[in-house]
Amino acid sequence: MTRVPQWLQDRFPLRELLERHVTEYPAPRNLNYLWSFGALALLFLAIQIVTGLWLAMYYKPDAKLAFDSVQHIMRDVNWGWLIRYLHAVGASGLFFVVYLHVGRGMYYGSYKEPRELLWWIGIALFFALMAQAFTGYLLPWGNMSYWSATVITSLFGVVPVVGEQLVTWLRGDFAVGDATLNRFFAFHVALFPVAVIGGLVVLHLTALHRVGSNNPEGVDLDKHGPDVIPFFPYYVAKDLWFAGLALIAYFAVVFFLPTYAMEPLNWEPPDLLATPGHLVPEWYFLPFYAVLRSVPSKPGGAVAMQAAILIVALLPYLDRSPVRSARHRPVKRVLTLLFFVNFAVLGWVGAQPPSSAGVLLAGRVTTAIYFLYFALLPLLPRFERARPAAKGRWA
Amino acid sequence: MKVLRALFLAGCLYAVAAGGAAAVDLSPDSIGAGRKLFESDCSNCHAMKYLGYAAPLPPEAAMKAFGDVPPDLSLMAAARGRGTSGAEYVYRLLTSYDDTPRKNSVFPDLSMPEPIPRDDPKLREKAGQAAAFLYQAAFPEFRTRRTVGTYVIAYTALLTALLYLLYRSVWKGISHSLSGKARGG
Amino acid sequence: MSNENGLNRRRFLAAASAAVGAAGLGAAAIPFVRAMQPAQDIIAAGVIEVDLSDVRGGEMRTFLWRQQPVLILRRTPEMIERAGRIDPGTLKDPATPEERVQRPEWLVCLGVCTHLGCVPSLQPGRLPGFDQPGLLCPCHGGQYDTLGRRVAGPPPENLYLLPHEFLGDTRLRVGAPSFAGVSAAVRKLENLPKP
Repeated sequence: MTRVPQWLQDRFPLRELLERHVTEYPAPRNLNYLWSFGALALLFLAIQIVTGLWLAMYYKPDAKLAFDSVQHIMRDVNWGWLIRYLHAVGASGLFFVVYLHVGRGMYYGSYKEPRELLWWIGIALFFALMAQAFTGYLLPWGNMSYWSATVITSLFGVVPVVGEQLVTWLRGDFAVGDATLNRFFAFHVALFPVAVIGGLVVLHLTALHRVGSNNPEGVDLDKHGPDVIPFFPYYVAKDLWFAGLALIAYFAVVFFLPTYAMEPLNWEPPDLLATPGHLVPEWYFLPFYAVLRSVPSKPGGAVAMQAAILIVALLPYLDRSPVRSARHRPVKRVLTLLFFVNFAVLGWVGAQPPSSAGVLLAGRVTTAIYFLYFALLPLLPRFERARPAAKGRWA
Repeated sequence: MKVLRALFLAGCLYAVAAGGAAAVDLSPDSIGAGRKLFESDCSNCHAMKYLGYAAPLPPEAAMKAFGDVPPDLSLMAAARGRGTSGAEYVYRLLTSYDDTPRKNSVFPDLSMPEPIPRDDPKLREKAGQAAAFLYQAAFPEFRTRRTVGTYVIAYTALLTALLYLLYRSVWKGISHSLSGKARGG
Repeated sequence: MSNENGLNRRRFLAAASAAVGAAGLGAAAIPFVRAMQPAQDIIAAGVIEVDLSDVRGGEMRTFLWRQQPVLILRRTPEMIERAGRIDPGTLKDPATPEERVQRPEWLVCLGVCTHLGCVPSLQPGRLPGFDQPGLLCPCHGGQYDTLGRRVAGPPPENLYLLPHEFLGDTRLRVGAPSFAGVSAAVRKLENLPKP
């Protein structure tokens, strides 16, 4: 029985909410640590919001003042350097846990019926997260900030007919400038966190609680049966200690290796007359950047990059096997693990200067493999012998 | 998963240790000497706005004299490499001037003339001190950061250990596997 | 029996974790609280130097320190003598001349009326109702003598003092790194921090 003061309970359904969604919420007993990454994502999101709010107390979103205001935070604001490093490293931390979270979903078939909507809300969240990271990256107004904003906003020019006007409209000027910086600040601080990520996270958790968590075996479980345990205390205890471990790794980077999560060129203000020899986005965008560069045409590259993210939304329909979890699907298991390795290689390709022929070839091959995975999935049931006892449905 | 995290942490510690053991001596004496070197030999051309050293040369005069404007050095150690490798870049630059036609074999066609004479017996020591000063200029908080970081990580490790024991005690006797009924067999 | 032990162990670990965690959260809050306090450049700007050489006898200068108005009045011998004749016991906010100025010739104080905050101006002739010069606040008629002590009108206290240090005869160092100014409400020299 959850303890809630009667006075409050008479006016607010707190006990019911806590019981339904925490203390008596049924969760599979066999979840492994890959299931903790959703909670970790929430933790890192909270860190970003708090540290971001504090940075916004001192940051100035004006092209003449922005870079200096960041140095003011680093040098004059009490503990400003810490808040800044927490935020910069935290962005990488958030993407790291989100990638593991998505990878878990791909491997164990968490996108399959009845979790398609949950999956799509997650994809929307990923887009929002990328937009949040992209707008945030312009704010320090460093050399790389400026040039990556120029490159990515110019991609919108591939839209037929209105492309160029769309680019100008987005930037608020004919090139990335003060107008762009100010609105990106508004998007980064007000639009994406609150309306989008806040709203989408609520939707994501609501959808999750409707259908319940998947599990490593991929089988449906009776939510009143012997195979579920209440979320509190079991998964609260598990997620808490695992979060502690994540925080150790996070703090190790924040306090001892912060610049390893930050682009060196961004410690210089923009040079509008000279693009840096080697334009590189943050590591979490590298695989998609590699896809973009692998297609020789600008529109083709932009479409391919978008397709690479959007195709993940089709997984519920591309994967036709009645078995969810790759644990019981030997072919999908190998293919998915190869997909993950290929994704990492794609990331490496994205970090290389585009000049060498070898890198160009590697980029095209890894891009092809990326899309090939999705093309092969529908064909698997024809020749894959999945273990029948592990079918997604009760016998 | 736990193995992966342990390896990651070990890798971090190695990187820290390796990064520290370079030509750039970050002791307060070295940094102090570096500051004096900057004031005597570098500040006639280079500004460091965030440390209060204003730009002494008007840009047009600099362009005429060197063909380039001497950059502000406040953040140079950060802009040329991660960790301490930016300071090491500065060290390499200062110690690589030679007699080749392009003046510096590691950084060809530098606009900056040799700041420390090649035949100065203390060339390496001075270059190291200058690099150390630039490191501190870019990262004035580095000593506090490492000290506080040690305490923070030690505390978090203690808390994590407690939470782990709590997890084990909460889950004691609870099976992590499905009962077998769900397997449909 | 072992169930009982298990439960006790669990409760102990939960309590220990909660205590250690709470301590950590408290410690973690400190940088965020400190970050909202004035930044180091504001603290450093708390000390400024002023040139006194162009202030003649009987003149008053006003300048800004930490966005607050500061008055420097170069008192004539007549001003010094007349203000010295006032019995501090009759003042609403008693203070002797030694408690108000380091050097009798120079009044250095915050130019913020202690009533509602307007900037008082010098009345070199006579204050209304008094036979000596002083400072008059235009807003509600508050009056101060040439030591900045309240002598008439609604102000409850003497004009506030701020840390200052004479550098020779022509320069004055004003302020201290963490001194807030008006909100410190210091009315006697002995209560001021060192510049």
